[in-house]
Amino acid sequence: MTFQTRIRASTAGWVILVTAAIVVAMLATRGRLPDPIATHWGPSGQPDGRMSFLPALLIFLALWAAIAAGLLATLFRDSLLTHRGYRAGLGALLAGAGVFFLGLTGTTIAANLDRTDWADARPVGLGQVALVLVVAVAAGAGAGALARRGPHVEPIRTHARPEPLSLAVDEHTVWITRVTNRFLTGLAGVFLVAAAATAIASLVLPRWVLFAIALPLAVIAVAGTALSSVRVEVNWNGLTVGYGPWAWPARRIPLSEITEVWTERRTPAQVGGWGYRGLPGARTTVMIRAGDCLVIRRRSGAEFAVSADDARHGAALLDALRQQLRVDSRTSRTRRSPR
Amino acid sequence: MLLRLDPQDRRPLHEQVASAIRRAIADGGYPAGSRLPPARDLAAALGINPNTVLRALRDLREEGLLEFRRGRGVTVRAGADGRSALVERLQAFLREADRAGYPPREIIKLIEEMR
Repeated sequence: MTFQTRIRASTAGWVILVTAAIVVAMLATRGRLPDPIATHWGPSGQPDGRMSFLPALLIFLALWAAIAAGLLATLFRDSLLTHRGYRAGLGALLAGAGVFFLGLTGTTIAANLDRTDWADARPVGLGQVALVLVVAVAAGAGAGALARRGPHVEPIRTHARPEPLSLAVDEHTVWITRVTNRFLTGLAGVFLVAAAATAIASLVLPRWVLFAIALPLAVIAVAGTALSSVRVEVNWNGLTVGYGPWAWPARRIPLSEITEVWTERRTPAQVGGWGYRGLPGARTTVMIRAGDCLVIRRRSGAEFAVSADDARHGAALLDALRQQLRVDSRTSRTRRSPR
Repeated sequence: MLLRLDPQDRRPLHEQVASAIRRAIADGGYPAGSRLPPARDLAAALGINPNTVLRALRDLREEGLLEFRRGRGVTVRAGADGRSALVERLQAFLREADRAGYPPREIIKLIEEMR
């Protein structure tokens, strides 16, 4: 069995284990639970919402399945699995989410156990919620550390110097590109739908489900959308990277900050996945899709890369502008900024 | 996509934008079938109204250089690459000839005489 197969088998096994545990725990105790069961607790800790047994079980399973499926979907690429950082992240998220859902189920069962009516269920307070979260985070951290062990492969990188630009460069020359990953946009959409569904479901589920599940799902959806598309601009103001379909928020690196420009072909496997990857301050990549990237080195020595189509022209212009700026500052010429 | 608008150029803005896009495609980086950056991104980069960019794109579609496809955006039409370079050079030549006192109709007469 290869390393990749083992990883896939163990993650699939964990997902099945958690699913089975939820189902078995709920069905085994069904006789000792009221129907409907208390599923919603108010700020006082007292139960104020209920659901029939089967719908409650199905909703727990559906939420867990949505998160697990989203994470497992990334297991397709062999090259990702040999990357230490990716494994650690995946392991942490899967373990944390699994433990969290087990805790969710366990708390609900324990509160309803041996009660004749849902209104008589034991109180569930902030303390219990906090305990479940802490255990889930700890499990995630442990799993992440465990998953880091094993091979780590950094594939060889292609590094292309920018070609000299044929046309005369001035403040009226600009370069623009937009890179979108539709799969990531779709995935973010799925999370948004899940967040909305959970928010609606929280009408009958414990209210803290809204904050513990719907809110993180919504945050993931927003972050996913912002990192599924990027607009990259090169002009006299420097390099500007705008995140998301509306290119906002945007980050601008002035020409004076840039000491080196080149292009490279990078893949998510090399940088540890999609989105904003790497170590801020040392080496970061805005990874939208495998392919050409525009890379710069900053005055601090830090390296910044962003997925870009037609990267070679962008690098050529950025390098030309950067050098022109140096020439201008030495001869103390000032340039009017463009319209 | 590398774009340059010459401030000395007195042609209507949408024509200048069309020229710039034509040249960018001719220089490579956008092979047949590849998708152009969206009009609003082009407009933002050039600091002009998106409608001007849209007009330029429509003109280029009329010319046969670009294709508008639902769900795919604006793409470079197959087989159009070489043509765009020629059109660009022709336009530059016609401008130069105009400045030298030979408007396009005179050039057409010259071509007719040559054939």
